[in-house]
Amino acid sequence: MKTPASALSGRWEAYWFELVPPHVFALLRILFAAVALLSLAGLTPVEMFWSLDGLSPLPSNPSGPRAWLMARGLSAAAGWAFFGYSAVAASAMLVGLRSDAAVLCTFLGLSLQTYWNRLPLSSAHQVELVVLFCLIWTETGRVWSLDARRHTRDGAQDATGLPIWPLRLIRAQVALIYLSSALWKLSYPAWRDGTAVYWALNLNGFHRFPWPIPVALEPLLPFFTWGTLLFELLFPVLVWFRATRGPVLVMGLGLHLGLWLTLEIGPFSWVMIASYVAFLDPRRVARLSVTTPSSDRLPSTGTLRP
Amino acid sequence: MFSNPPRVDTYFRVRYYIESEGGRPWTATELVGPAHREDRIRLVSSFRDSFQDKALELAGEGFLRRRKPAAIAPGTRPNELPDDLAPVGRVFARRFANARLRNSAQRIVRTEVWVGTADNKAFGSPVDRQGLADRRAALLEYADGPAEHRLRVPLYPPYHGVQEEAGIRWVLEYFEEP
Repeated sequence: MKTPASALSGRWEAYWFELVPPHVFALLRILFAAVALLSLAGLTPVEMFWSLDGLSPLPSNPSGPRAWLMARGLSAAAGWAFFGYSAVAASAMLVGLRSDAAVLCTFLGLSLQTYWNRLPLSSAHQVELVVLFCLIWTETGRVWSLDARRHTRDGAQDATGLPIWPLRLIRAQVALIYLSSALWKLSYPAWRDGTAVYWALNLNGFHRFPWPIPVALEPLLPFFTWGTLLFELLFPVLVWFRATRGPVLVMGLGLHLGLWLTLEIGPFSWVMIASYVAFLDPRRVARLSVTTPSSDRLPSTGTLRP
Repeated sequence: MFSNPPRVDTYFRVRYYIESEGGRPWTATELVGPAHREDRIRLVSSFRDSFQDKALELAGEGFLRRRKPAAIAPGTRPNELPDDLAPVGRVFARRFANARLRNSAQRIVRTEVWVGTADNKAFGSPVDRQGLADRRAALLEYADGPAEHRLRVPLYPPYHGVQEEAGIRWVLEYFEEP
């Protein structure tokens, strides 16, 4: 007979080590590689953002590697090499060539970028980093990858299950992003008095359309401000429950598409939308695959024992 | 940025002072931020521009955070200022020199980084269409690249000097004399 402690332990184990089809991890790999490549395209010309004598902080440590490279006139060459490395790693991640190594290399590249030149990097970069960190620990190339093609003789992909815990970590991370963002915003008067969206939409560095906001529309903006705040505060709670998860993800999709439509904020909207894949039911994602073997080959609700 | 959105539009411009032996000195002023033209809808290329704008924003924030209050004085020299805005001046000066001064005996003798701010209208107040049109007209001067001044060459302004231009308040935040 099971004791309450062993039942709890079993549930805990199942929560973290339940086996799920690998397709959701593959989809995350593909989407985040695409976003990484998109960001690389934005970070051009290479001389501007990758060369150490470009739009990049001056070396603070005169004996550090950045200063060493600059002193030897290798700024541009090192910048091009780093850009090339990042592009190759993200491309390999996209197509699933040596997927595990590609994810690791892309993660290392993104991490190094923070040290190399943090100036053009926004919060989108941080989200990319934390999601890739979670993906390092799983096998993202089992399906929908060149690796899978290479390793399968008869075309049937190895869709055996993977532990769910990296997915759970991504979910927790995204929920935390919203919660911390909401708490920060609450500390500023513009979010409490409802004018924050108005000020953001007016900023010349961000607004997509060059016209002033019609005065008649202004009374609606406080509702968008408070709505955003409410959404961010409630997201970590509502996304937890199956019944409310779908609606809250659709609302998030609307929020980020609205942001993209009205403001130029780089890859942020796409990164956040891509991260929503982590909240999808892994079995449903697996059904997207035209080469998925019959459902009896998908893992049942098993648990991987650590 | 959006946790506490500013109430002002922000601009960055870089001014170059060019001299040659025996020639008349002249200046060129380049609007480098925002990277896109604000009188146009931001489409595909503005995605790339957003990275340049972010870099300028962070460089400006770092500079203001690290500059000591005592440095805000007319006689301040570049070595008394934090170097956060140095890359901004250098990268655009180099680009300008490569494009305009190549194969000439002219050289940049001073580079200035100016940060401009213009108030956005308060929530609920009517749109100042004339003021907006004036500002756009002033910014159009920079639309086709660096605006050159060969006849009325300004004297070097004092550090933290201020210039008004169609509602934009420009402040000289950083300079270098290579």
